[in-house]
Amino acid sequence: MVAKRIIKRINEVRYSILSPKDITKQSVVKVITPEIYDKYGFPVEGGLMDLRMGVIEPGLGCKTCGQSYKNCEGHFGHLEIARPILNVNFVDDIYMTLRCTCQECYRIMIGEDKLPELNAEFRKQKRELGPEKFQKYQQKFLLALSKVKNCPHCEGKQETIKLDKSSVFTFTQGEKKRLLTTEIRFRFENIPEADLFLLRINNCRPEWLVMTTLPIPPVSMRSTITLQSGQRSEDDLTHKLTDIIRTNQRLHEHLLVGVPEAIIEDVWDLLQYHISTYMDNTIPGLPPARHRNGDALKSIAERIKGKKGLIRNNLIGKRVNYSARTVISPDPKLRLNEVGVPYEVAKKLTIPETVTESNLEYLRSLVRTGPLGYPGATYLKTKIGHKKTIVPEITDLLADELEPGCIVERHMLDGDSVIFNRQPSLHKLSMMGHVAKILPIKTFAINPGVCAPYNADFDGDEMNLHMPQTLEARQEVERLMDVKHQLISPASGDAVIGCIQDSITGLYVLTRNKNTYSREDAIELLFSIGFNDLSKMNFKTDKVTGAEIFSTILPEGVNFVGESKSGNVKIKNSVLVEGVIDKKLIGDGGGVLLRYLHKNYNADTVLDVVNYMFNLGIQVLKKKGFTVSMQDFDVSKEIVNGVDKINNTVFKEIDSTISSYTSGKLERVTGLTSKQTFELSVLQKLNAIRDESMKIVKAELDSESGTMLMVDSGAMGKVLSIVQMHAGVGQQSLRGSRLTRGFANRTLSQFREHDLGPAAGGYIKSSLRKGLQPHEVFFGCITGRDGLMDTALRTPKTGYLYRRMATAMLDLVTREDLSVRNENGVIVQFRYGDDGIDVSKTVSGKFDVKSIVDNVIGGDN
Amino acid sequence: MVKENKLVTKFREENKDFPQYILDEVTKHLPSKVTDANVKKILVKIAEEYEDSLISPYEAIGVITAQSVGEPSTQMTLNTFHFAGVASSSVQGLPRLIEILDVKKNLESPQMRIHLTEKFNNEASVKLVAGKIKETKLVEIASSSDIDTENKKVTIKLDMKALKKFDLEAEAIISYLDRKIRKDSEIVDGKILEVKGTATSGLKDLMGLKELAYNSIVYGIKGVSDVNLTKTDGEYLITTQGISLKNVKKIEGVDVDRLFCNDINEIFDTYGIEAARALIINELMEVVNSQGLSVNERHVLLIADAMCYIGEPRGMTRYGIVADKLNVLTKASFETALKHISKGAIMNEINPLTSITENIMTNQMVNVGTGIPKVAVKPRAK
Repeated sequence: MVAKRIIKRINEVRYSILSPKDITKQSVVKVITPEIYDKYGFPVEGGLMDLRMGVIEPGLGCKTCGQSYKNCEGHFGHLEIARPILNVNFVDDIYMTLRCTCQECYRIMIGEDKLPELNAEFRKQKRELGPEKFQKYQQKFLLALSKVKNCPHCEGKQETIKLDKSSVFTFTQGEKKRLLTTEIRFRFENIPEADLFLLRINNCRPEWLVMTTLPIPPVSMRSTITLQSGQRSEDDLTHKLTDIIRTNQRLHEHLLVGVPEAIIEDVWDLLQYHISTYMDNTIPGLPPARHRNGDALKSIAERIKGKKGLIRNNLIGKRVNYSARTVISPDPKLRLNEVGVPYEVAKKLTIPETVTESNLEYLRSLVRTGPLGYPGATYLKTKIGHKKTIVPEITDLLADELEPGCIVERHMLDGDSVIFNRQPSLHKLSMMGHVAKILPIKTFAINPGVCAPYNADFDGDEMNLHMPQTLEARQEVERLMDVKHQLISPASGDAVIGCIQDSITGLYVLTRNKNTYSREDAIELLFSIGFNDLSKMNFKTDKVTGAEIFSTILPEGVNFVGESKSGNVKIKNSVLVEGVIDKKLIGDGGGVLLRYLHKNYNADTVLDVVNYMFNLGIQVLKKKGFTVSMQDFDVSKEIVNGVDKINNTVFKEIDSTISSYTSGKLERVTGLTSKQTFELSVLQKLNAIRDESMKIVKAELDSESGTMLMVDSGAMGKVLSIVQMHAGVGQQSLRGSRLTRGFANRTLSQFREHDLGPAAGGYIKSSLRKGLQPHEVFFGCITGRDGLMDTALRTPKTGYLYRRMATAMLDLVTREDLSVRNENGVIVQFRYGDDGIDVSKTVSGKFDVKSIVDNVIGGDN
Repeated sequence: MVKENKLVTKFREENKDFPQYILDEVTKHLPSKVTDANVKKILVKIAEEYEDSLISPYEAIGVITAQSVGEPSTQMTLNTFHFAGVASSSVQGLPRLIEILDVKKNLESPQMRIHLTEKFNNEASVKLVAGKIKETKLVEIASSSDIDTENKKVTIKLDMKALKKFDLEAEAIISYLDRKIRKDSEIVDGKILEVKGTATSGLKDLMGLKELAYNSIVYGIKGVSDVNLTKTDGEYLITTQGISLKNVKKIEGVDVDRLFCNDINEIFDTYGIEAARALIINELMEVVNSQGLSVNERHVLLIADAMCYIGEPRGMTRYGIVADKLNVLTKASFETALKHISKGAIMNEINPLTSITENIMTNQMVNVGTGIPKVAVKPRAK
């Protein structure tokens, strides 16, 4: 593909204020009448829909540029305002400037002798402080200046000017008087140019902040919508503009006729109100302008700001083509970095491929298949740049036309790089590169091993898929975004992708207890996971241990010493010589072995190994059979009695604690009130029940049962959950203490008031297997509900926190010298993280010195 | 302390830039008997490994950092536990994280930890110092009060014993009273405080006056509502609720070098930017660790540096880091868009399109990652 050369690049954007002269200069129409259409439905000349400001309906031509509605961008008009109006956006600046200049001689409130000195000082500060601090410096300076009482130039006394409401300035001279907009404009006109720099007004006259001419936006910015009934409905801005023009006209007439000043001021205020709300209808203190039906009008400001405004919705957020979304399902047969794509999607998502000598025939066959078959193509771009849709009827014709230099938009094929994503995209691991695999399915299929980084499950989750279109994008997806490069989290340096659930159980079962398999079984097992390197399956004995089978899939030269849940694990020369494989070694989260592999082998090898491990685990279970049954939770009478006994003794202890508390004999722990001491001791005792019963139950459990295999391998479940099923659910706690609230002085109505016993405090004695008492169910619900509330309230809070952190730091980039700099090259850190080490290249965030030392020393003997 | 291998020392001297802590670890892990050849091998290996572990240039590390902290924060608790015992009671979890990142001024649980100099490290002086720190309100030294609606005045009887305890003169009390009632108050008989109301004040107004008088702080440091003493390893520690470093520093016996509080602004004002940065790092790590989450320290370091590199701590808010950016469009895309745009206009600002945000807006290549390096092509000689 011939790269399009970028001819222009925007380097900077300048901001300034339009002068009245600029406004008339760029204007094509002087708007004079509030009428929009004449009686024939044509736009009135000099009205708001004047054809010179652009056209919005087909059939008409723009009277300025002559183009049709599709190409004409629109042109500004202008309106001459009868009396000056404050620009609401600048009210704060107008206020500050008014206070910082003399009310009699209009100079800045700094003596002539100090001016040059201060000007130089400001320029120096601007250089030295850097722009960030300079802004604050200026603000402070002006604030101090606004408090000066007498003008150093003419010694005129300064009245305190106040800002009443949104656009009314008043001052007190004997009585409260209004500072008219004309007066403000007059003052501003007389501020000398030399004073403006210190007033923070650059390249702009202050009187431009008080408008005499209003630009009228082009028609295309406020287009008419024609309703289904044929009725035309104007945009909010047009409505507002008619109000403005009408009021302006009235003010004009009043001025001509010579109406009393009080009435003129009323109309003038109305005009100010209309123009203010036209620009911003959300000014605090100003009642918003409304439609006749009571809805507030949408002003220019509201179009720009906020989440749904132009900036965040249209400029920062982009919509894309070449994307698909559907439900996801699991498929452990896929490789970790593959994604199963339905034919329907593959036929919609295309990629442009340039025809060359060598792929001519191949692309020709795709064109011949057309858009309906698969694999086919949808569009053809000829050498001279004509884009042709491939339709079934003319496929042969187009196929013959194909020659090197053409571009064919072909369907997605196996092996194409795509981006896969699940919202909320909290991390970079929420968008990873996958390799497409087109399958006869209706959902996207992924290996369940990559669920963890996406935080996905298969209860109806949907995910998005994007097809990168250029060669550069494809390369980046393949080399930077692919799943195989994301095994280690950049947040903590731990593995995020690894074996899960059954595959962990399987590998645990395989490698523990010196399990043996017959040679045939071992080889069959390895073949079934797609491992076919026969040279490695050179088993010497008839009986093959599980550890040997596991060792087969490891790459060459693995020397690893680590710790699993059940003890030390040692792999020497790619042979598992000691220990059992479990979650800590190969699971997501910990994944010590995975991190070792990631560090020492290339990404593809590691991906292969993880794939083999994943499938080996599952195959082992498939071969052996694996069941979890109710039997696993059968308990003998001794246990039930034992747990009861523990409960009874502790309850008795608590009774005595209660009586000593109520009689005031309880000894206080230093720093705590007696109430706190009591609660603490009760809580400790109740928690002790759990620990004690755990001991009894654990001893009784069959470590060969399915449930315990899962628990011991770390695949699923905890001992605590089993204890809750067997012995008792235990204490429910809210905010770190027992339940206390509910009814007056008691938790539930069946208890006596001020009952301090375990049951009334939310202790659930029953086990899940036996079933809960009614009051216990309620206690369970309390904590359950609290948890739900917590998550629901937390999500928006963290979302906002993340957005703030991201905008604050998004421009920080590491450079060649390992420094971290911001967008303008300012150094934030001299060396990233003080040592320049990338977290995702570490072992749990640490530079692993010990293993290097051990390796060198160990390799010697 | 293990003596350092001379080869390691030599390496250290030759490579001043090399992270020293890695070499310290080497010394720690080296067996006592090791051949020079092996040490050399190890050092070469370490250097290689270090080179491999370096961060790639142009990595968008700011975004990665924000994500690395933002993602785990979705798992934090929203509730603020007040654990048993004053010493460890403090706001944790998400609310505290937000407090730190915003550099909030009024903390939910302000806290100071005060060590004492050696001379004062005994129970009697610790109690004395603690008493000087904890605020004492007038109510604590008053024995009874009376509201006289007829004469429009409030009389408060002072507890002379308590006065003595705090080493206070009855007459001096007036100067400690709330400013609003100071000039209407007087001491009668050397032990009764009288606060006069105006001729029109009713019972409610007088109650208000009494409240004002009662809440006036007569002793100790304003804002320190509670103190707690603990003793570990023979050393006393005063933990307070409420912060006022400025005043605590003046108290004799306080070890100023080990004075601690959890308010970033306060630390910055008294100890400067480096201390503030260290506090941000420590507090962030504490929040993250207490929630059982694993976030690497490097991310926390970058956050702290981004907040502090300008010379004063700035929060990640529209008034903090974001407000100080030069790029108008970046600021506008965050919050209060119009304010930034109109300010840019009046100051005739020039917005270089250097930031990610603006380049996305204008559909241009972004200045991070693969967007930075350019390919230089040597034109073919004709």
